[in-house]
Amino acid sequence: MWENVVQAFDLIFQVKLIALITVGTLAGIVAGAIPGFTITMAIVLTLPFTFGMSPVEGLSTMLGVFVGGFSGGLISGTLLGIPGTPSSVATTFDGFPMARRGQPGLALGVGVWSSFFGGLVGAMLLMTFAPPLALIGLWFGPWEYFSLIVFALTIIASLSGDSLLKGGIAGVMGLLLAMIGEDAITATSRFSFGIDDLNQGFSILPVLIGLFAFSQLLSDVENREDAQSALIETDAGSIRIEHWKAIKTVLGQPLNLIRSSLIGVFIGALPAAGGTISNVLSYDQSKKASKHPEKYGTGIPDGVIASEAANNGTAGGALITMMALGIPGDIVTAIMLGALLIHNVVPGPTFISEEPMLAYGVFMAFFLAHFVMIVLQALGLRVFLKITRIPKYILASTILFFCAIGVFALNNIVFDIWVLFGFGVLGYLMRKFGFPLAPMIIGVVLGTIAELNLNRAYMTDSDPMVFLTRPISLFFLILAVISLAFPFCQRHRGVSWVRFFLPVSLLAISLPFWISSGMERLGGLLLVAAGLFFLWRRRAGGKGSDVGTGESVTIDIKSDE
Amino acid sequence: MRIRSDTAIGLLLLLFCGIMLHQARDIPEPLFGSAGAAFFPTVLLAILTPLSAALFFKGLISDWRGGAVADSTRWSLGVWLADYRNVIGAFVLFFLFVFLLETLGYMLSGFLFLFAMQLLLGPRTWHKIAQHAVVSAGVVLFLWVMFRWLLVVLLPEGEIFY
Repeated sequence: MWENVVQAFDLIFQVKLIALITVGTLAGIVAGAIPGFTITMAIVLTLPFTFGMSPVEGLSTMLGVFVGGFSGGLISGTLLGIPGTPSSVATTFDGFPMARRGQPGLALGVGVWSSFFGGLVGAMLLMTFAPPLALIGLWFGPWEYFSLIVFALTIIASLSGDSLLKGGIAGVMGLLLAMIGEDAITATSRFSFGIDDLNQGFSILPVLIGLFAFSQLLSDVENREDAQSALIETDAGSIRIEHWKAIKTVLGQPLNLIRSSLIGVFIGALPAAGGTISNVLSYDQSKKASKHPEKYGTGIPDGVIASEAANNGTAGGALITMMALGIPGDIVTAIMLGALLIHNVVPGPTFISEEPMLAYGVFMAFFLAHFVMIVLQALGLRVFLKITRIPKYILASTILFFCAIGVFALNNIVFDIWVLFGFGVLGYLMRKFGFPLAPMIIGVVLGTIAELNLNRAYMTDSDPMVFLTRPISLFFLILAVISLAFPFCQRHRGVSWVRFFLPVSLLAISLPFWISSGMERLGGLLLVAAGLFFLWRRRAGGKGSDVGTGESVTIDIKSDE
Repeated sequence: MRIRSDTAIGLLLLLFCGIMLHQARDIPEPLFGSAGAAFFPTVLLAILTPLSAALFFKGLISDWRGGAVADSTRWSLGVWLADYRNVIGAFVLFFLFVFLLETLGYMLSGFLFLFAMQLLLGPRTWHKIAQHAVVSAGVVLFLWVMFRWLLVVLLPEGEIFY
């Protein structure tokens, strides 16, 4: 491993790559600072620029955007109380009160340095855990992969705000859209309706840009007054980040910092979850663990540390799953996965061993991007704030035009722009009628992989029960069922049977461990013991609900990061 | 009783499922070994159909429950067009841009698109109109340099200048 790290160090520490990471991070910070722009849109817009680059250059640029975007979200969240990205929602709870109380520099500093340290934890865990997780991934057969994809889709659907039904429909529609065109195994044309261009299916890029960027931009300019207003009206040119004070504050709370970073990495590693969830969850946990929870929300650094460390840790976690298993940890890594496929690189368990330079190059680029982020935030805050004063109508027109040309650059065919237009209309209508976009995106990106694995499973053994008799596959399918049941339990917290959700879930999860052989059964034993313990507590009238405790925070991922 | 969006969307989705299932029947059966090109789409449609039906009935039940409340606001095309002027205008302009791209070429169609979009969405004083023109020309040129020279991507040159 260290040999690969050293070689990757040599690869990444070149002027061109550092410049690309810097440009990417800069773009990410600006994008993250603009409320509604989203990191996802920034990554999507970066894609066309990466076509002419090598995979490591393209990914390094996108990683810069990724890292910059998470930290950029805190700028408008702190100064205006409007989170720049959904992953900075919890930052506003304390960051904005701090700024209003005359401590904007400290609030921004605490946020930036928490992002930095949280990201470093994520980067170190990425380098540590991605390779061994990839080894575990080698045990995965097509059944396990298919079940993992089902789990990813159910998580993203179950977190779809108010409507699990609409989230499920969006996810299945995404998978179905990926079926248009030629089948990957037999090259049979499907659902082309006699249109020659549809025989090749839809390219991922115009679909992604149409669904996210196009629809988001049009939502932003829907209202005439809003369209002509600046993104951020305030003049905050005199603000300076108080770095030394911020560093002392952040490092003075090591437990909060480490816990929040780990929550971020863990949530990020879960398929299809992301910074939107991790920052709120981390804030919630930090508040519960604090000796002065009543101060949260009044403007204390603790809340900002919890949120920002978690959301940057999420990036590392998401990359762990993407690099090791080829399954996106969140929407942004889903797009990066699409980008890798465009470059003919297929992530999966063998990716790290077959392409060590690219894999470790990605790790190092991710690590380096955090240092670049700190420098840019220190030097460029005033510039970022000036950019956010551009009226939305100029930005929207320019970006729409850029989207069209960027998409054209992929294959040099106008059909791709028509696809962009069509999915732009679809994405806008989906937003209007309450359908989340995230499940559809995950479905489109993973659809072909899901079908490939399902077909491979069928060709190996046509018995569908194999999905239930293979322990890892069964594990993911049980998790999928639990993630679907979770929103129901959250909504019916007062009902008596909901109290048994956790023990029943633990008992169900133990099942795959029992059908394994060897030491895995010990894990099953522990899970059964835990399940029975909680069951006894519930029956005996134990405290609290097992689905969220106290003041739970509703997480809505209709909007993406 | 006014049909709300969930009912209408559920119905459209059911129609969509029907069309796709009909298309799936035309996909050739596998010769040997694999599940066939129609297998996974059929599975997905088998999941989507009941979900769509559930949305339809959910919408229908909401409509029945809300039916007792009088809907005093009559829908008006004029009001709707006014409310969504920016969005509809943007879609129309983008459609025209793509339609004319290969005929007029990147430079001309791009400039016209950007200029028209800013006129549609932004203010229309003479000073601002001049600004729109400058911004449009600047963006078109900048992206042309970026894509043509930096990324070496050929952009449509148009037919009218040949």
